[in-house]
Amino acid sequence: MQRLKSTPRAIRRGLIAASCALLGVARAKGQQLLDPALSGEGTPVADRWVIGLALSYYQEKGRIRVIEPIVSAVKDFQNGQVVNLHFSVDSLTGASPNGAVTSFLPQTFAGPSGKVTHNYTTPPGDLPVDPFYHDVRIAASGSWQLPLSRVTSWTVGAKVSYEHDFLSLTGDTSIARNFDQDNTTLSLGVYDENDTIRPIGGVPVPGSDTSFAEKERISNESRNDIGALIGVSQVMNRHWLAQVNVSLDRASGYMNDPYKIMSVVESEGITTGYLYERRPAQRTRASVYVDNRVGWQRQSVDLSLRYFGDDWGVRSYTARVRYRWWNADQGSYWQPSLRWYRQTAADFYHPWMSLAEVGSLSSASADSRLGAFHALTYGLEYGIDIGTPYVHPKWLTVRVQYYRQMVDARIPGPGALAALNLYPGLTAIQAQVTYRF
Amino acid sequence: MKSDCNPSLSLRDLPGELLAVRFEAMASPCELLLPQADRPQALELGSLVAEEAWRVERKFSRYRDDSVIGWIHQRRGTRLEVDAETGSLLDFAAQCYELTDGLFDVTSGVLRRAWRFDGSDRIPTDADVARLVPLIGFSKVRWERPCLTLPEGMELDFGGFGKEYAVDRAFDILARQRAEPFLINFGGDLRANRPPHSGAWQIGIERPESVRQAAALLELARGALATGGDSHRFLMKDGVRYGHVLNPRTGWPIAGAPRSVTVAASSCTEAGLLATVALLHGTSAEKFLKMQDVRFWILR
Repeated sequence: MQRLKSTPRAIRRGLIAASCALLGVARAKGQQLLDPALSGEGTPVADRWVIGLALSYYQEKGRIRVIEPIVSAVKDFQNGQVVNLHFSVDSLTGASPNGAVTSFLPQTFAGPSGKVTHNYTTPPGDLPVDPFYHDVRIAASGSWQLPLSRVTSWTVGAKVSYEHDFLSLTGDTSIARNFDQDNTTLSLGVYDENDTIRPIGGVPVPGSDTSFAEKERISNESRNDIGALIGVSQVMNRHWLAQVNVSLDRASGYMNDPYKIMSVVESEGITTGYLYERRPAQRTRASVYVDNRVGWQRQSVDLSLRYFGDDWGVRSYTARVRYRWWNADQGSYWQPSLRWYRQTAADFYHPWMSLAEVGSLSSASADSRLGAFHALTYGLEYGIDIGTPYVHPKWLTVRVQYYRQMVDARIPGPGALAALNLYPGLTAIQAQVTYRF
Repeated sequence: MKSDCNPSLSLRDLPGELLAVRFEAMASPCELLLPQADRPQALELGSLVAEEAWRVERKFSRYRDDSVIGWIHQRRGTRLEVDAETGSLLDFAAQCYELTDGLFDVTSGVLRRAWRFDGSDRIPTDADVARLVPLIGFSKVRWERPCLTLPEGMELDFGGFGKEYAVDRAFDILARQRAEPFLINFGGDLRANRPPHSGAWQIGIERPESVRQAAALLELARGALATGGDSHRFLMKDGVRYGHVLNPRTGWPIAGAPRSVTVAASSCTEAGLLATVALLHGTSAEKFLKMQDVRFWILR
């Protein structure tokens, strides 16, 4: 038997979803319909600053911990201009691998700590890590998008990142144009990044022996990176948005990590010394990124694939799938995600160097970030709108991620090192709470 | 006043450098308001808006045999494949039916066979109404996009959101052409893209007893307003006023329905639906709208 009287209940969210579907909001703002809550920076509300406050916590098992407060602000002006501002402070503490290989003997190193150099000893069988790693990074960025016509917009941006031993300045500009009744967007962008590296105690001479290199240090080095990006996003139909980005960039200058060293190991497995790493002075990188978002009333799936390759021999493949289940009545969503990543090693990656190789290799690094590995990231995000939907949304989101990295192409150690686990891999967790209002 | 060459469109100068393009559609006076526009431009934009209003009316009017609705009504009991736009409207109708637990029902138009709101005292009998109630219920319609089967005896009527839908469609068309402020008003259901340079749009809500006199003056910067009410359509018998808002579950007018409900929302379709569903909640209209977190004005 049907009820004859109705109890009032909140239907607005469901109604908004239904009217968006009816009116084909996807045609003009596909992304926002498919991903109505927040796709990273959120939906700007006209003529009002949308402020985001976030706290991120990242912890690698037994290693680095990063605590990062983030403040962001977006304003979509009535005249079509959009201003984006972003400010963050990372506080990084913990232990960071210094590049040396594990040994069956204790190893003693000298490393920077604050503004002085200190010594530390790694016990036998452990991966050498600098336990006093500490850094604070301050980063600020801003962009300004201004419409040139109804279908064309121009964006300029700048970014500054500062650490006590590192300064990075980036400028970028891009132009975007919509075609086919806003179903297609083509964008072209270029950027230029200039970095100054000023390590504690000076820049070591690449490839030099850590024991004798002190006198030849210079105070700073620099690096320049220019790049270009072409992107196309296409509304395939009301439920499907596809995007392809191709980017190309070229960096030249000082490409080394001044704190990374590598072990020289003789055939019995005994470490006889350490050299500073030496990377090529140029790097050309290219990547292709494809993203597909498919959205229904209460669900959306985002599948992205990325290929990356450079002239150092690193090839990487990333696949990420995110599923969002959107509870329209409560204005909340759950979003589990899975990311798979695999990379090949740089041509000059050597976990250690043999005596024969010393002097014969033009470039060499033992930085595990240049080695072959694969990784899985499991994520879960929950978001809830505690404000007025679509009029004044206030999104509270909580995200937790678990990252597990496994080293591939495990070259067995010579002599006594064969019995040791030289490739411990890495696990990390990340948690972030964001409030956007 | 000057009337332009197009017989169905008229152009008027209003105070404050405001141009109004006016026309008739969906049995309502319709207008497009443009501040600081020139006349040829106003006519060009006005005809885009009018063409869309007439298109929606032609396509979905239940009074026309050559409309999609007429076509469906001539083929009751048959499985029909409908076009994408009709499909979207049916999807929307289905979602509204579900969201409101059947209170908003596009099949309730059959009640017009018994109820004629002409200001008279001709109230139908219980038996007249009871015969029609089994012909109501969107759940009885077989709708599996793109195929529709409308059972014998039943009717479809998109009148409950057709005018608001037309406003939103015309709005989308115009928003592609014009970044400067404009306001589209189809018989009191309206939507503006942004405020005029003078500040905000001034909107009068009609007092139910009087067409001439505004009961309230609202300011709207952008967004949509839609009004539902029975100011002109009612029956009076023995001092009892029977409003035209009918409960699809009983076939009788909703008791205690407000005279008029105006809702502000981001789209006209959304605002109109909320206003209509508020009316269907009768005495609980205010309570219902408070739960939706929207601006609203109720006249009782």
